[in-house]
Amino acid sequence: MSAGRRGVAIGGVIVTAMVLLALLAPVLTAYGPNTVDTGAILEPPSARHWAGTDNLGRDLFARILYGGRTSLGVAFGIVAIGMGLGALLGCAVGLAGGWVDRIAMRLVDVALAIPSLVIALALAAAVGPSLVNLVLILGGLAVPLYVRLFRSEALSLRERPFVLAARANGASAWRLLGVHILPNIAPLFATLASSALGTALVAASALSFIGLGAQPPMPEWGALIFEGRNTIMYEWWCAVLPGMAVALSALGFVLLGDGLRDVLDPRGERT
Amino acid sequence: MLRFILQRLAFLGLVLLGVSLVTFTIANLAPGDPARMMAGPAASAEAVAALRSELGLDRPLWQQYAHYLADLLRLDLGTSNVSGEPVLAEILARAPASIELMGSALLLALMVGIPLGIGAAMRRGGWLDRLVSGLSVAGISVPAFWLGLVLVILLYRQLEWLPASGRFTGTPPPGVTGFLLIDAALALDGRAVAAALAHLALPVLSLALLEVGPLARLVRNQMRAVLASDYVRMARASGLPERTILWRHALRNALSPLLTLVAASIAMMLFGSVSLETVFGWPGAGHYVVQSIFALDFPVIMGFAVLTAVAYVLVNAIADIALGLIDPRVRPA
Repeated sequence: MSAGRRGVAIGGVIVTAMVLLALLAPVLTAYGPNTVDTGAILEPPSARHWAGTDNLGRDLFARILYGGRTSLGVAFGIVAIGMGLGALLGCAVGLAGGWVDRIAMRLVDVALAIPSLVIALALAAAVGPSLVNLVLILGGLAVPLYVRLFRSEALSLRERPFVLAARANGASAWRLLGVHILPNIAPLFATLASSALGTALVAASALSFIGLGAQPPMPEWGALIFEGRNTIMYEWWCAVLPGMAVALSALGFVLLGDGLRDVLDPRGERT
Repeated sequence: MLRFILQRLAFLGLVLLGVSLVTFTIANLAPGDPARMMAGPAASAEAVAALRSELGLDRPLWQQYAHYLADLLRLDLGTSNVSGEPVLAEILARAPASIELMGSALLLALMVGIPLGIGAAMRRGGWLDRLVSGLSVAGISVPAFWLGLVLVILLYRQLEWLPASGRFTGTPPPGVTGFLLIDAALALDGRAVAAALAHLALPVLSLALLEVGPLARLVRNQMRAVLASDYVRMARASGLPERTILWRHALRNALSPLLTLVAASIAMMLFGSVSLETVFGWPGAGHYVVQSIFALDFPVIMGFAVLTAVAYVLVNAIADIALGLIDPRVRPA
């Protein structure tokens, strides 16, 4: 098996497992994520509580599973907004060419020179911490990067014979975009999306960790690490296990992305 | 060359203008009426209105922006709601701690990452090569603040090797530079140097461990490309010793793109150090901004965003120009 296929296989298994664990949370655990049990405070992992309990006696395994719904959902939201808008704008700009392209690319250059995560931090603090804001902010700030990547893809597609032929046949701009360009950027989209999900997951958990994402008692991996950090000296599981969920999921997405790049070869780098 | 530098400087001006527009917009999104907050809840409506016009909040937005820009150019970032001190002074007082942390981490990552990358390039598919691939994936997937917590549990709680909080214990050396390690060395105080190093160890390790992989991967890929190039083949065919080829011909060409990556990785560090400083109670600018987020001290949060954005943009501009100076290939014709 080539390194690319191995990456797709390992990454795919991890990602599928994490998504299934999150989706099947109510089936996999009898505990609610917010059920307080004052008789079982800070218990270590055991047969009863697979991942132990936190300082309110809540079952950590349940909180991690339900937290996966939040964390993975947030990551998907960020990538959907950032890459969706970025790909659309990038292709439009690349196809339009001329002064639209020149002005857009100048703006993208400026935007990419500004450190987006620091801006995200200030923006999240200003509009008030919430999950929706977090998704909008991290998604929005990712747009310029994808505009650049998909624009260059559209530029190279624009000169390919099948696009030139369609244009010569009088195909409309929308038809060009919908039938000839978008399906051909799908491999690049899948590759980038997978890696982007990994980085979005890590960035969102960092912002949640400093109080700018999910608010208590909502379970979310970054927020769980924050809740657990005061007890790490003796009750290590509260902070370590949710972090493992972040790292493992992100690892899955990154491996899958790297593998897809080798297998799908969207940029034709292998030739 | 002069034209290249002027081009980069013009772009720098554009980016700084962009930064100011973005932060001005964010500052206007912040909740609450600044005039009401300054006047206090007991003030009459007239007093608040008077303060509004005094602060210029009743003027059109573009005039407010011009005002904001003028303040920025005079390095006036406002005053902290909590301490009442100027934001710039508050952040600058904490900057040496942050720079000491990030600088040490970057240095460590480079010292490990460059040899690692070269070693990986020499033997494709070898264990170094696989180690670099693994470390670079881990560098993206593992959150720095979580790695910090894990290291605290292992190296502080379990093994009791290293302190897990703060910059120093005991009487700090006389402050000359604000960098404790340098101050301790200047004071020729061996015990203080050891204390500063011990406190730096865990946070620096957390940051550097994640930085090493991506750095080594870039060095490896560059080295590979260079080693496969015509001029290296030519040098080999001429019978030059492998050592000369590696050090004189390959390395210089492989390492120049590193400058760009180092500048870019500073952005990740600026953000990563915010959560990491919180984990380690490191008294730097990042820890301070997190405290300000919880205290809703918006002038400090905005000031931090402006300062870090400007610092990042400047570092990148310097790296760009430096790269143009040492590597004529990147200069526009």
